[in-house]
Amino acid sequence: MQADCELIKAVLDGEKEAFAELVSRYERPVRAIAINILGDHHSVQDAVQDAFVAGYQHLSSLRNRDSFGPWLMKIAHRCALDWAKRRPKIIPVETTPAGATEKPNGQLDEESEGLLSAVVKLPEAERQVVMLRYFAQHNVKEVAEIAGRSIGTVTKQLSRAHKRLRKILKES
Amino acid sequence: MTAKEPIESRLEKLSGAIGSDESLVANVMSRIDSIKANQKKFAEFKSSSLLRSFIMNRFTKFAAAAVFVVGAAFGLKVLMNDLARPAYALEQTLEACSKKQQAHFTFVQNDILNKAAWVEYDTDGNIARVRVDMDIDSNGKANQVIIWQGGHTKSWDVPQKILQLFDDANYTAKILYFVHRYDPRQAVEYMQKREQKGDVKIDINQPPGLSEPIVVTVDYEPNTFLVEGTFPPMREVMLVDQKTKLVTAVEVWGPGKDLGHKEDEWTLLGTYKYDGYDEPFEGGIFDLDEEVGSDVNIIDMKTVDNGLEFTEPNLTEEQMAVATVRAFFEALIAKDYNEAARLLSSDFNAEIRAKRREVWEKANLNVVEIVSIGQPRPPVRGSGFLIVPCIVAVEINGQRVEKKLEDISVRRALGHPNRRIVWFAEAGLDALISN
Repeated sequence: MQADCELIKAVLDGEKEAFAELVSRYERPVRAIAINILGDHHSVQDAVQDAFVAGYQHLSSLRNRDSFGPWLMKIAHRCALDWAKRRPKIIPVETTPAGATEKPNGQLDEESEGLLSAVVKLPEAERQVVMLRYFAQHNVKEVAEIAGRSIGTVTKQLSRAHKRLRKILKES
Repeated sequence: MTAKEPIESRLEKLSGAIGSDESLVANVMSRIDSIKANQKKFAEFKSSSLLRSFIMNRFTKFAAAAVFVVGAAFGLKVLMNDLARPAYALEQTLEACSKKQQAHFTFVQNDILNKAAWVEYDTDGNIARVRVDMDIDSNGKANQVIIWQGGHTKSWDVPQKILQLFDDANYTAKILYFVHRYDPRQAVEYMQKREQKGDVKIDINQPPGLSEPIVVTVDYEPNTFLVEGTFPPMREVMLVDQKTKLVTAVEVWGPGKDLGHKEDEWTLLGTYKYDGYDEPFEGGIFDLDEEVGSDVNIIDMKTVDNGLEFTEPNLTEEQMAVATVRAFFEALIAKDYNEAARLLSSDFNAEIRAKRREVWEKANLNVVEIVSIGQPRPPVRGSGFLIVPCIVAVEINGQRVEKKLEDISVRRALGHPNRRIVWFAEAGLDALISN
């Protein structure tokens, strides 16, 4: 498992494929940020693409390569807000077939929305480890390698994040 | 997904619901290819066609020559002005800062805002009031706000809705130290003092153009970055505006290896940005009363009975740290959970202690022996506490397990200079009750 900083170095050295690896790695975390802001499926796809393209274009300005994850989340947040501004003000009412329980890809039920909104409220460091662990489905060792932190730090941050999430959900 | 499910499995299910897009990688890479192709075309166009056609056109040949002559003359004027301008000295920044009544600065880490501070001076130039917003989240909201005024400190834990009040000389010194260190005027004075002692090397680079900042690079010897702390060699890079001579930013750099990075090179730890001198602060910036809300839990730390009190004179910080950790684990072994929680920094009221006791009792916490308590040591970076490594034995499901604990530290109890408390990460406490 290559750390983010190693992949970034490879991208800046001209290895374009290394960026494809970063896109795969951060797809779900970036989608999560976009879904939380936009909700609807099509704008999410556009915002996610924009976020990765903007990330690629500004990669050389990232001074601390270990902070790629939080930096990309910030870009994703901005891209999603841009798409939110572009949307028409009147959203057509969608009809749902009776008895349908499956939600289309990217559309969340109320509880999932609540949990996602709680994840987005976590402090940056905790949010990154939660997203890499659960959304990008890496184990703790891999999260530590990707984020450039020790396994102990990641474990502690996950534990704090779990506790904080429980609290936010309880209060909401 | 139900509210009763463990948070871990709810997060895993949420990941599935978020979904993925099989064509994302291909779409992103295709857009990147297209951008690169356009950039290449534009660069070629700029470097060859445009310039060549401009120079080779018989009418523009004369114009090009004229532009060159005017450009050279302008360059010469700039050069003459530079030669006439006195070389920059740090005293110019001290002079420029001396008339300022207020300072506002932010601390940015990894391009993300982390802290913001507002400082107000009295007419004699002494610090009158300070506000520091800590651990700022992506929505720009602070997780902790500290207000200091005349020795009185208010510390607001925003998510926990707790407002702690304390008059602690040690904490006051810490706040003032933070401000002294990064207030533009005092930061420069500090650098000069350390240079006179031979602790730092200062290099000044003044570019010829007025639009580029003066760059002051300061290299600190080990343990000199902060007077009272243990520090590796550090570097600061201060940017000074050429016109106003005011500091606009201070970058703080540390050795990469020390931070666990692979490369042994300077790593940017963060940047202090000074983006407003004497701009009026928002009304009520130093007043928390309305901001905290009516449901905040106000705790006067002087009235809190916590920590281990030391009355014997001449005890070292290390001796007190070991004694405090020992007392904490002895209380756990005796299953005196009230006493153990009383020694924990986070558990400062009866309600929190009762919850802690409930968690430990429910989990059948069974600490059976203190195997060893190691030599307390200062942190790699920072000050004000000692880390106390120790090994304790716990019994989990009838099995004795030895736990090596590396993240216990001991610090002063707020508002009680003779008391020491244990600080223990929640994950460390969790480790005592799980395999």
